[in-house]
Amino acid sequence: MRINQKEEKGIHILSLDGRFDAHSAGDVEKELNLAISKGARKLLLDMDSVEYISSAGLRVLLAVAKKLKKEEGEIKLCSLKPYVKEVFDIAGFTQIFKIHDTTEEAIQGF
Amino acid sequence: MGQQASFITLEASLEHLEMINSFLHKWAKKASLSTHSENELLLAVEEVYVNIVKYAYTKSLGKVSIHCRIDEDSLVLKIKDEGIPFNPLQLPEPHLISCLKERKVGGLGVFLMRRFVDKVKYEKQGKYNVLTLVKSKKKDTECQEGEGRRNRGS
Repeated sequence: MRINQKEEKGIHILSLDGRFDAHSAGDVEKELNLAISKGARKLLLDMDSVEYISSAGLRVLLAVAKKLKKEEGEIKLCSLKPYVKEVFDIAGFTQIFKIHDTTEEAIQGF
Repeated sequence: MGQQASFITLEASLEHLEMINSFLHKWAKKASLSTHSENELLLAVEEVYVNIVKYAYTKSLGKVSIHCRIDEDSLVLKIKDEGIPFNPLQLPEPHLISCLKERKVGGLGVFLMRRFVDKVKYEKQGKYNVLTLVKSKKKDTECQEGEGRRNRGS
């Protein structure tokens, strides 16, 4: 999994590229936790290049969302591929997370 | 009757997930599954495999084998391990609470696995746990036909 990071209008944007599975979930969790420990409170995950997610990826997202909520921060997601969206729908994650179609839309929503 | 069949045997370790994916990818191609259906199948197998890696063998690394065959209408997988007996079909469904604060982390693997294949069967065969997953090819054909119609109409 490749993770590119940038900041725009005070929003920490992480673009994930690869499979979000049991093998990569630990690395993603580390990067997200590192960003939070450095003070990021508005996190945007760009999922445009994530074709696959399993429960290991969902677990990381939920754990990070809970952590951010305690810190009065927020995580949003954007650009979900159809399969990833299906997994989110079935797991009930579309009701938990704020999901936008594009990064621009998500940035405006913060 | 199975038209084609093969299997892969590995030590139960997360490091081998990629090898499993490559093995399944070949079979998904042979069965003409769409990328979407292939992802659903990979998720189902990953969830089963990760459970085996985490919980089946407590003292040392154990083996997992995945047997694959194509039937007329479906791709049939049998996942075998020699670990602690575990029937995932007996797990209760998770509470899909939409409130972030109350939602529990984890517990989704088996639930998603059951949703993404058409049939699941658990058997204890001697020392082996055998989980059979069946992914229908038929629904995929219907889906692809539907996609084709939509594409032509757009």
